[in-house]
Amino acid sequence: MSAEPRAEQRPQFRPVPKALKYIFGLGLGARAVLMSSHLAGWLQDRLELASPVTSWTRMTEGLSLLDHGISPYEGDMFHETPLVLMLFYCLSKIWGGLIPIFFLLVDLVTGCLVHEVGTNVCRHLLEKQGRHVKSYSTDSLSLLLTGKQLNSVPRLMLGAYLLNPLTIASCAAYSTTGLHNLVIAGALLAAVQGNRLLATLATAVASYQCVYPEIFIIPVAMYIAQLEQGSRFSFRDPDSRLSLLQTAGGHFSWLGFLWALSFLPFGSMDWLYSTRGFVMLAPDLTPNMGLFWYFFTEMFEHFRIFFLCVFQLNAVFYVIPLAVKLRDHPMFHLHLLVGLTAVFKSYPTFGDAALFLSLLPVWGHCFKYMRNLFLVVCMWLYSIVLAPVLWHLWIYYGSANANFFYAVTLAYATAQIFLLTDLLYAFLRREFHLRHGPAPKEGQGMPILMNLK
Amino acid sequence: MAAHSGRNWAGLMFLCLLFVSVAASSNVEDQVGGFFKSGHTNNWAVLVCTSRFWFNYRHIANTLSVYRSVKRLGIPDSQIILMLADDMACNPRNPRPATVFNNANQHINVYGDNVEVDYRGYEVTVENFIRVLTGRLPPSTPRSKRLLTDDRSNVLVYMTGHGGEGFLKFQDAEEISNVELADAFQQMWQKNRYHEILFMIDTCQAVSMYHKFYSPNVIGIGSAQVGEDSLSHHVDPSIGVYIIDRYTYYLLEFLETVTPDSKKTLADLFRVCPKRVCVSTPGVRTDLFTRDPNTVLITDFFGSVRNVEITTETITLKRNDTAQLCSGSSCPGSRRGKRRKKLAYANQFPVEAAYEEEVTKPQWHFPMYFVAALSVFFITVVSAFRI
Repeated sequence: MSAEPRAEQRPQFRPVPKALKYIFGLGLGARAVLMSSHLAGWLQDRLELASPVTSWTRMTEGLSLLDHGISPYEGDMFHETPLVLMLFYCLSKIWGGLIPIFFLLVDLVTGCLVHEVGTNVCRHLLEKQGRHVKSYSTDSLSLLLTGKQLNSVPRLMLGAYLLNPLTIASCAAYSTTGLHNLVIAGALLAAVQGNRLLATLATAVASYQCVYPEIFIIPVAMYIAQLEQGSRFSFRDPDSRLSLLQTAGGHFSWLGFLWALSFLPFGSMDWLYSTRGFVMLAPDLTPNMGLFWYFFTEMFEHFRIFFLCVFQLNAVFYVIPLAVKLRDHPMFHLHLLVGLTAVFKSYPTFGDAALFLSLLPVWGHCFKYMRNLFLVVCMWLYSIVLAPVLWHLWIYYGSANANFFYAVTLAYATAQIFLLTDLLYAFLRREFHLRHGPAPKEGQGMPILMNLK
Repeated sequence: MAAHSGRNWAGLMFLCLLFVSVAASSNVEDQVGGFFKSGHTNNWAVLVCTSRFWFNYRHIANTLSVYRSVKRLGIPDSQIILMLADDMACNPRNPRPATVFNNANQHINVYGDNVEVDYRGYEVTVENFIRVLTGRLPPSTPRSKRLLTDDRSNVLVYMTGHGGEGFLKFQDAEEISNVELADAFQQMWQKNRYHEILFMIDTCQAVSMYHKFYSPNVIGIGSAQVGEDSLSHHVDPSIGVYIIDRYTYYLLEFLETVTPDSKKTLADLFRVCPKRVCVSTPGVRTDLFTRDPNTVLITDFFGSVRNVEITTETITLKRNDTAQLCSGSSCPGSRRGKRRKKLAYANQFPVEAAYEEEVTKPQWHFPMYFVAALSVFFITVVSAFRI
C-alpha cells in the first residue's frame, strides 16, 4: 500500500552551506528588527497582512476570552482553528516572549520546507525527464534540464521566501498566515515525497487550517497513484481508482481525527462554523485584499447565496480542468493551485501570495516562454505600494473612496492571475517544444505561431 | 392660705406653660403641615418667544429675562424648556456679540454663559410647541427637549411675540389659536401632566389667548386687553431697536425683588404694571383656579423652592402605612460595625471597578482528555513518519 521506501526520505543532516546561512541570518534578522521596532504595532492592524482569520489582535482577544472562561467562538470575533488557539494559549502561559520567537521559528521552518520542496521537486523533474526523454524531439536538447541548472533552485526558493518583504512584514505583524504557509509548504513537501500516509496527513492539516487546500488532494492523489502504477496509470484503471480512493480516504480520516481533536477542548463543534463556515460564507465584509467584499457590500440579500456559490466555486473549480490538462504533471498542478487559492480565497493576504512567489524558481526553466513578465512585475509592485496609500487616502483623508482601493485589489489579483496563466502557458509551450523541437515548422517550412487556447 | 394660693399660682403657671407649649408644638405641626399644603413637588417652565428678525429683539429679551429670573429662583435647566425663534446674540447686526440686554443701561446680560436654549430658530413651530406640552414627541427626542411633568408639577408657561384677537403668530409663518392652546392644556390635564399652570402672555390683545381655557387649575395673565396693543418700553439707541416690552419690564422689576424665601403672593403679581405705566390694561383669569391667589406664593410658579428647615423640635408624623419600622442596625443595608465612608459623588463609570480586578486565575484549563487525545495523535503521526 505504501510507496517503495526511498533513502532520500530519511532526513539527513548535511552541513549548511554559507549561502544558506546568509539567507537565514538576513531573513530572520530583518524579521527580528521589524518585530522590535515601533512599526510592529502598525503592521498588526494592516488589512493587507492580517485578515479577520489571521489577525493577531483577534488572537489576543480570543486568548483573553479564554482566560475569562468564555469560548472565543461564541461571537463573530475569532476565526482561527482550536488547535492553533491551544498552541498560542500554551505559549502565552509559559512566557509571553515566546510569541515572537515562535513566529520566527515558523518562518524558519517554512523556509526549510520550501528548500526541501525545491530539492525534491527538482529531483522529481529530472527523474521524469529521464523517463520521457525518448519521446522528445532531437532538436530540443537545449531545452532539457540539467542538474547544474537546478542546483541553485532550492537556494533561490529559500531566499525567495525568507527575504521576501511580504513575508517579513507578515511575520512582524504576527499574522498566522505564516502558520498557514507552514502547513501548505509541509503539504507540498509530503506530497512530492510520495508517502501516502504523510501526504494525506499534511494535506489534512493544511485543509484543516485553511479551508481551500482541500483541493490539493486531487493532484496529490494523482501523483501518488502515478508513483504506484507508473505508466499503467489511467482514470479507468481499477487499481488507479483504488489508489486515488485510498488517498482521498486517508485525507478525510486524518481530517476527521483533527476535527475530533478540536471538538475536545470546548466539547462542541461551534468552532466549525466560526472557522470553516466563516471562510466559506464570508460574512465579514471589511475591506481586505480579496475580491469578495466589494461585491457583497452592494448585493441584495436575495442574491447573496447565489453569488457566494459562484465566488467559492470560482476559487475551487479550476482544479478540475487543470487536472485534465496537467494529468501528467501533478506537481505543477499542485503549485498552480497554491497560487490560485492565494488569489481567489475569501480573505487573502500578502503572505499567501508570497508562498506562491517562492515556488516560482523551481519552474524557472519556463520563464523564457513567459510573455507578460514585465507587466506582472509592474502590476505587482504598483498594487503593493498603492494599496496602503489608497487605503489611507480613503479612510483617513476621505479624498478617495472604496472604488480606488478596490481597483488596487483588482490590479493585485490581475497581477497574480496573469502570472498564473502566463506560467501555465509557458509550461505547456515548453512541453510542446520538447516534443516538437524549439522552432517547429509546418509542412511548407513556415514557423508556427504558438497560442494558448 | 398663702401656701394654697402659691400652689394655685404654680398650677396656673403650669397650665399656662402647658398651653403655650401645646400651642407652640401645634404651631410646629402647622409649619410642617404647611410644607405639604401647596400640593406640588416640582416646578417646570416653558418660555416661548415666537418672533424672529432683528426688529423683534425685544421678544427675545423678554423671554431671556424671564428665563434668568426663573433660573435665579431655583428652577434648573433640566426643567426649563426655552424656545427662541431667532438668535439675537450671534446676529450679525448685534454690535455686542454674544450678549442680549434687556435694558439700555446694559446692567444685565441675559444671554450669559449658562443659557440653554432647547428649541432654537426654525424648531420653534406651533407643532413643536403643542407636542412639547402634550408630550407626544418622537422617540428620538432628547430629554432636554421634553416636558417631563407629572401630576405634581407646577408649570409656568410664558409666551411673547406678536398676537391678535384669538391667535399668536409663530415666526411670521403660522399661528396658534386660543382654541388650540386651550385644547393642549386640556390634554395635559387629562394626561395628568400638571398640577397647576400659570400662563403669562405678553403680546397685543393678549387676554384673548386665555379666553377659551376650560381646564382646571389654570391661571391666565395677559398684558393687554382685547383691542389694546401691548407696547414696548424703550429703545436702545446703540442697537436701534426696542429692547424690552413694558409689561415684562415691570414684571422683571417686580421679580428682581423676589427671593427664594419671599412670601409675596400672586395677588402682588397681578398688580404689576398698572395702566398708568403699562399703557395697556393687564388682565387676569382666575376662575379656573381652585386656590385663593392671595395665598399662592410667587415661588410656587417662578421658583423651585424646596422647603428645608432645620428644627431641633421633635415632630410627630402620622404613619400612613403599616409596614414595619426598622431602627439602627436592623435596617437593611445598614453599616453596623463598618466605618461609614465619607459621602462623595458616585463614580460615573462604575464598571471601572470590575476592570480594576486583574484576572489572577485563568478560568479555563486544558481538559485532560484533550491532552490525552493530543498525545495519541502525536504518537500516531510519529509512527506514520517512521513507516
